[in-house]
Amino acid sequence: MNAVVQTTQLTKVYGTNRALNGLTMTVPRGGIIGFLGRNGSGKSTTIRILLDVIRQTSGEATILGEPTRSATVRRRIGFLGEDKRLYPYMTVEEIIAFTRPFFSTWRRDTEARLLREFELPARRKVSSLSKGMRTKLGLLLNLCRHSEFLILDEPSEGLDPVMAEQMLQSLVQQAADGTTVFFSSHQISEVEQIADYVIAIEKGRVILEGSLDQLQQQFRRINLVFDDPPPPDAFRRDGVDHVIVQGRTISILASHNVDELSALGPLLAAKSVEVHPISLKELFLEKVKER
Amino acid sequence: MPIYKVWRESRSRFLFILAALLLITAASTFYNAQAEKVVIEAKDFHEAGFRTLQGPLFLFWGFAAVFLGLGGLLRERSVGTVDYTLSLPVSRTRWFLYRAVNGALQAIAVAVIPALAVPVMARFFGGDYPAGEALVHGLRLGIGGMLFYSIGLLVSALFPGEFTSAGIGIALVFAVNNGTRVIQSLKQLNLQDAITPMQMVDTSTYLTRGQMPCIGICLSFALSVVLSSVAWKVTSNRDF
Repeated sequence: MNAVVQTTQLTKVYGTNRALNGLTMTVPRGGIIGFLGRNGSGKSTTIRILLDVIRQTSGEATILGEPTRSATVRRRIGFLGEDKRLYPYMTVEEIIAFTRPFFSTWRRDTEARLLREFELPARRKVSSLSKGMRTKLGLLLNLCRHSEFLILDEPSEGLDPVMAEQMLQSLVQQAADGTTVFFSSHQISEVEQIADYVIAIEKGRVILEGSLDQLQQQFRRINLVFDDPPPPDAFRRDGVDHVIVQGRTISILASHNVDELSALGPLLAAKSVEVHPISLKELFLEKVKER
Repeated sequence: MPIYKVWRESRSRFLFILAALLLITAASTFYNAQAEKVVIEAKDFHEAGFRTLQGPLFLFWGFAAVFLGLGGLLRERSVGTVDYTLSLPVSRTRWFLYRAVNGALQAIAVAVIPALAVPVMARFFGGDYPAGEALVHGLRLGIGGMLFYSIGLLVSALFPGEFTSAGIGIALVFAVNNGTRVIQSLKQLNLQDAITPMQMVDTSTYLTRGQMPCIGICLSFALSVVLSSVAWKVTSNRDF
């Protein structure tokens, strides 16, 4: 089985607000998957459904091939939430001792190494730890499991740049050890930095999905400059995702068929035609604008 | 594993309530004994002990039981730890069950241990109160009064705010206790009477005699199971 997560027409409605609007996505097994979206786009809602913290209004979701309501599947999963809240009444060593027996794949050597590396005070209460320290503790509790699938919801939120970088490198290491890492973020730079595969959502629907390399090779920006620009409808053709008219320049976001679209320039009397690769940030912003 | 968590998160509250009820019971027994000099002279703590178990311990235990029922996943949502708890390989039903059993045992303990303080107090002053009588009274209170505990369990499954749950729970305990005392048609359901039926108390010795009527206690316990089941159902199905 190649998918670690499969959702089909997933919908979540809060009163009059549709947080998820028919979300259909497949998270492939292996590597690091960036789950990109603006604040309020439905990322956390999706993750919370996957963990069975909330229930979908309609649609289906499976995780590692099992229904999200299965408690046993969570033996194979790690999770680090956005605010990294852990039991305030436990000490660092108590929460480690509490979490360890749930996971047969827990590695004591990893635990000892991370305790040393992260300089976590074993006897200190969780309530007295800073957010950075709580993040380190949360990472330790997840990395020691060596689980098949690790979910992180905005893991770098509220962290200083040094801690954020340390955390991202830990995820890269975990993926190299065979764990599929799925992390949500609205920071495009960190998704670009470590993700192999990207799923972007907006208003509860997938707007972009594919490997980072594939997306960067597939999409192109074509800028055409005219003396007298033709109407944008002239560019409504196969492969055109989005057309923007700015004065005498027409900018096309093309998902495929780039050569044919470029050839349109001379045919429509363009003064110049330029084809540029597009960054993930530009691509994401264009896709969000389309919505 | 889950039992360790439910114990750790409730430990301080349990110990605080236990200490408070022990203090109330001891103080009340001592006051009752002092108030009637004859008790000290006669070295007979039966009446003093009986009045303590039937009055202050019942009253404060009822409120304490509500507090022992508070907490759970909805409370965890408001402190932000529910995502971590539910990401562990434990079903909601098991979390609920562990918490409910842990709280129920604590509720029984805070009924029995302070009740047993009465014979200890009596012995301390060189007097006498039968330990068996105190133990049975504590068990009747703990098991029969489980209704109050399950009210706490239910309100904490329905209302996220700790103060809201506590306020509503205590109001309900008050309403149940007073309603069944004042309203004629409900008098037979009064929990205090079911736990300490006056007709079963020998007024010359202030000790219970004969077979205790268990119907009231069983009815109360059955109702507490129903309320707990509703709390479980709500917990199983709601969003956190």
